[in-house]
Amino acid sequence: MISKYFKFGIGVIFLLGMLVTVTAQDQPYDFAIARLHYDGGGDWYSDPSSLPNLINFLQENTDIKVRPEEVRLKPQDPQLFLYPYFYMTGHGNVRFSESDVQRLRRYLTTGGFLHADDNYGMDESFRREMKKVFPNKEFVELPYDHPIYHIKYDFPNGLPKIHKHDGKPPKGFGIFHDGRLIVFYTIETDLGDGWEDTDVHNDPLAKHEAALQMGTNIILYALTH
Amino acid sequence: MSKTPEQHIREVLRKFRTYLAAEHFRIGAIGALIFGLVLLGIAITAESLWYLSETSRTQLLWIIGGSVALGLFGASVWVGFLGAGGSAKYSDMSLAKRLGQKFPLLGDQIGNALSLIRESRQYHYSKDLIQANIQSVSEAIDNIDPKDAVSTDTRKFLSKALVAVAGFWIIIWLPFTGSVLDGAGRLFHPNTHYEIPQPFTFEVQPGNVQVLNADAVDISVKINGEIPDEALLTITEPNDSETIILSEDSTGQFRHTFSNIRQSFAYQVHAQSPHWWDRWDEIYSEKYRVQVLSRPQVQSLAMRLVPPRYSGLSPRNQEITSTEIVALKGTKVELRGQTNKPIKSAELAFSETGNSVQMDREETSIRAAFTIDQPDKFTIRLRDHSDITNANPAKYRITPLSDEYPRIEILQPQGDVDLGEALHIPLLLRLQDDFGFSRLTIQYQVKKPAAAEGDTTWKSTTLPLDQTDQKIVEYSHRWDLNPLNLSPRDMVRYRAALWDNDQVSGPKVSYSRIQTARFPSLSDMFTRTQQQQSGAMEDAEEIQRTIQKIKKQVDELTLEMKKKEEVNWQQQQQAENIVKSHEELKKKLEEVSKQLDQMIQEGQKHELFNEELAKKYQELQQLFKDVMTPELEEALKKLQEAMDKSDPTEVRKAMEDLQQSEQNLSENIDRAMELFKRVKIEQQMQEAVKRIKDLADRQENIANKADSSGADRNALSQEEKVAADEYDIAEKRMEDLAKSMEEFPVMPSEDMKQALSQAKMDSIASQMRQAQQSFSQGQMQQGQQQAQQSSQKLQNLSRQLQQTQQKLQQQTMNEIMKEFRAVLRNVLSMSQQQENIQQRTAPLQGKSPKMGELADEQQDLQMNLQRTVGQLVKLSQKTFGVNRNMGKALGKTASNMQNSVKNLSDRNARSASNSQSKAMAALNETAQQIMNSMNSLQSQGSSTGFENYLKQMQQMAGKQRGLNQQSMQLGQSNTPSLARQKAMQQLAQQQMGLRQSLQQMQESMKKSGGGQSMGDLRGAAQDMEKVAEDLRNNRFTRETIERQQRILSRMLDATKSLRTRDYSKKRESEVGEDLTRTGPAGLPGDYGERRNLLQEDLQRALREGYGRSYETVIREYFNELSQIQRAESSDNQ
Repeated sequence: MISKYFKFGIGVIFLLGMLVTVTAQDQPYDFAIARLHYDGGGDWYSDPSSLPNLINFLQENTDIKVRPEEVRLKPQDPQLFLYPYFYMTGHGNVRFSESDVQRLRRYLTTGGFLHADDNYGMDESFRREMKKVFPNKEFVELPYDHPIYHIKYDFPNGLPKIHKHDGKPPKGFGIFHDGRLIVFYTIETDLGDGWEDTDVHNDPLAKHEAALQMGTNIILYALTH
Repeated sequence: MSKTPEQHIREVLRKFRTYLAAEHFRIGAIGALIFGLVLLGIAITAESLWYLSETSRTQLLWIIGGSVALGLFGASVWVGFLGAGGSAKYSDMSLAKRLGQKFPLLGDQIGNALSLIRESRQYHYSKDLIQANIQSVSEAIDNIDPKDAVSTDTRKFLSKALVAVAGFWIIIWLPFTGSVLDGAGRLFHPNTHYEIPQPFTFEVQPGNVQVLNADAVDISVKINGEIPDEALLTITEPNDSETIILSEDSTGQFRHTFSNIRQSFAYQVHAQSPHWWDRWDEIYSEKYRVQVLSRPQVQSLAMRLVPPRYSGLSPRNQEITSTEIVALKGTKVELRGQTNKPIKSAELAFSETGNSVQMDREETSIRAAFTIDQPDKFTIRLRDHSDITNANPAKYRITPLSDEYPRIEILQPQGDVDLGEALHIPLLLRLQDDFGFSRLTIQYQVKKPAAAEGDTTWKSTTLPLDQTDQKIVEYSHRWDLNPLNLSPRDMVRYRAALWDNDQVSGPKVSYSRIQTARFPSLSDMFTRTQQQQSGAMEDAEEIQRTIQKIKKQVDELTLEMKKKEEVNWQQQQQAENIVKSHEELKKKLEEVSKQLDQMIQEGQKHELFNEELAKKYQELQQLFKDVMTPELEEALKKLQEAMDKSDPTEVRKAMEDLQQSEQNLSENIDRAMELFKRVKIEQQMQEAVKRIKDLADRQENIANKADSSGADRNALSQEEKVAADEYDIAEKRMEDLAKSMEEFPVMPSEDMKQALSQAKMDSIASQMRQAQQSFSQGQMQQGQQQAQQSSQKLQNLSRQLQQTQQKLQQQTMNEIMKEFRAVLRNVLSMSQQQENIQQRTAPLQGKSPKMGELADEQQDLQMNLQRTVGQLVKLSQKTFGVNRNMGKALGKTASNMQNSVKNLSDRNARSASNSQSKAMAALNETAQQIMNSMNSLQSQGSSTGFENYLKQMQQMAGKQRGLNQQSMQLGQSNTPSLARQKAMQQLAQQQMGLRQSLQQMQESMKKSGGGQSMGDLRGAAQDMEKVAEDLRNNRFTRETIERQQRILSRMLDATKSLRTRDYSKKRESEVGEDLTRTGPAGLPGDYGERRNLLQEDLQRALREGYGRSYETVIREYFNELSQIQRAESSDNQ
């Protein structure tokens, strides 16, 4: 008799677990990656397979339920503040209008996070435009022991070097607000290219993997700080 | 035997007692009879009146009989008791006494005798005496009859009473003889039931009845007889009963209605007697029964909704309690139910449409299904085997939901656009629908400038659509407009059309807004470029004038300030104005930079100028940005600070520093303007070549069209007119160009004039107008010849212009290289001289007299340097090749030479030698910079540079585009399989040919050091192989189409990357090698967040407690400082 009840109890617990799991799977996503659509003529939309690959990697290797498709928004888009994390990249000119500047400033200082990745050629204009957003803040290079390099995957030497660019060491720069990292700008690395399908740039799998891991680190850091 | 006297006495006494006893018995009996008669009379009366029950009657009879019997028995017992002498009152002595009383003669003799008898033994009296007494008494009593001593009065009285009672009852009963007799009869049949005669009876309708569940029954009660005061109705259900007072209606009947009867019950009407004396307590009707027959009903119902498959929605179960069915149109509704009893038939009855659906049934199960099509209501109608139907079935309402229309929005481009040279539009569309999509097209109309109305029918091109089950998709597509065969000035109106996947009502379509894409003519584009350039040039000239003016002001003010110690208010104001002027100047410079930026973007988009020219414009743009140097900004800042402090000495010093910076400013703007002029000439030269080449091609095209059958003369005439107009503009532009070139002797202005002169002699313009006229008159052949001739003349002119262009480039390059070489020679020579001086200075010690000589030599060298600097400055106005690094190196050289002179003058050989080494190093650096610039200039001018690769890539992209189109047409055609296979093979070969060309180009670029610019093409080569394989295998799938599109996209991207200004030539997508480096030690304490010192100062100032007007001034002051600070920060980037 006792054993009958015990079995019944186990069965109930199992069914409840299934129910929770199914219900949880029916829940909407926790997080969506938003790509910043900026003006200026630069190719904000470059590396089309990068974010889908990063999203897959996040789904497979973290507990975050990520929206399968990236969201693309301009600074003026009313939904800007719904997304805690923005990614931007490009080869070319970045330009923020005055209203873009104000919105971005407000977004970043009220909890938002921007990861900008220089796809090679974006550096000058991006720094210029960010100066408009934060005239009183400087880009500071993050030391290798910063949590962003270790939060899930370890990068003891900082950013992985994915593509050659100018042959210089990769660097990660940050802008802080009240001690919180709000902008993370990566140069001489090209994480976006690293996230792309390996046959696009014929990158070795190790580079592809490293890029995805670093991308995961950045997102996890952004969501937990 | 004879009796003794004693015995005789005793016997007499015994007789007396017996008589007494008998008398008592008779009395008792009569008494009992009286009692019995009374009771009997009461009983009979009661029975007569009240119809007693059997029990009562029985009891009464028992009481009566019992009483009489008891009385008689009691009397008997008493008699016996008396007779036995049990009572002292009736003892011998007492009797003797009574006899003595009755017979006075006897007196007490008998008693005495008894005493003697009793006491003789006790007293010793004579026995004889005693005996004699006794004897005498015995003799005395012989003469009496004891019977006479018994009183009969009581008996007589009671007898009379008996008679009286009897008489009483007779008298009472006489008027009611019948009922009394009946009553007596009933009384003496106690076990027989006699119905009490009732004063009324109930006649109840309908009596026993069967009704259906929820039906009603009307009960009516007719009273036959005396109407009671009230009638009651008792309802008896299985577990309950209830009594209702019935009410009498006007007809004297009592009525009641049972409504909504759900279960069977019994009912009975009755009335209670109002008086206690009524012979009846309660009169009842018969008991009747109302039997409820159950209707058939649906006891349970399950409803399942199965949406149409295209919606992707899952089937769901409808809530049992809900009668609203809201579901997508096309949803199948499946019903399953249970009834309370077996039924004969069941159907779904739809009230709006009037349709009905028979339900499958089996015993108590019912089943049916229908599809939601329109709003409706239905009920489930049941009929059982007794033909009883269900009452008030539930009404279900069906509300079909419509599949919404899809939505489509063009996100990019926003608004109307001009088409670039590649004739494609990168579209970004947002597709939305509630359930999915089935088709996506781009619809377009082409409007020619000549046509009055243009094409009004919408043509369409279908776009591949993968994610048809998604609800919202951002779709990007590079729409290639080349198949539309557009001509310059054609306008394309286009919109996107999206169909949803509604399979029930059929796919619905929605359209985006209509946008236009214009294919600007070359002339239009050049005209616009010219306008932009002119605008920028005018503004730049204005800036130049302003700078000159400001310089003059600065010079004058500085001179004035030197004259006096004090700085008066007016001078202060002038200084303020100078600072403000610089701010305005800065804005204007930014404006010029923006104008150039716009011009460059458009120029590149429409391929109006080549890579090299684009780069020059970029550098020019940068020059304008750099006109205001950091040193100037610093000088202005110091001037402002000095004015704030109101320190005349500092103000004077700051003005002097500013004066120096103004000189640089002036030189910078002069340089920028000079270079602007040269670049403008170069642009105009390219423009002229392109215009004329374009016109030549178009003339040839016109001639070819005119030669073909079915040529439209009006269209050709119009084309010829447009071409002629454009030629006039081109000619004017060339004249302007020739004039501009005159300013620069090295430029082939004469060649330009010669080409123009030749063109005028050739009467190209008039010939084109003649051709126009010929076409309009229908003289096609003549027009064709004239167009042909114009084409040839234009070709000649084009060649001449190309030659002039080459000459311009070459001569300009030669001039620049020559001057560079001169400067280089000077620099190298100075380096040598400096080395010589240094070698002679190094060994000197103390106060050697040679130091003086060396100081003089050094000074000479310094002057030589200044001359060289002057040369370089002049050269900088001709080429961008003179860069800041050269200036810095020369500055270092000058500074070290200066130090060297000073040290030599101070007799400090060691320091002097040090400075001389540094000066030499700086000179060497300058030389290196110059050589680098020369190399760079030479490689840019090479015709084997990017230009060629760009052209090759463009050609290949064109071929790929053609290949894609042919493949698409072949894939969609119904060509017979053999012919199709053959065509596919040919296309496969072409694809492989392109792949080979691409590979060769890539290898060539790699060798020349530029292969990395097209890194993305590795994927294109692989796709080409796969496409070729598909085509060889006669396979043309969606994947093949996508690969071909991808190849073309990559080629176009590569083309863009070769020419787009925002891509650095050094762009590398080569895999990077990991580089080990020691990173920064840590984050700065302030995290890069500079305290806003200005804000803090402002707040501090405001807390000083100034009045409101002063506070306003303070705020304005700090705002301006803040703007200056921001401007400084952006410049420092």
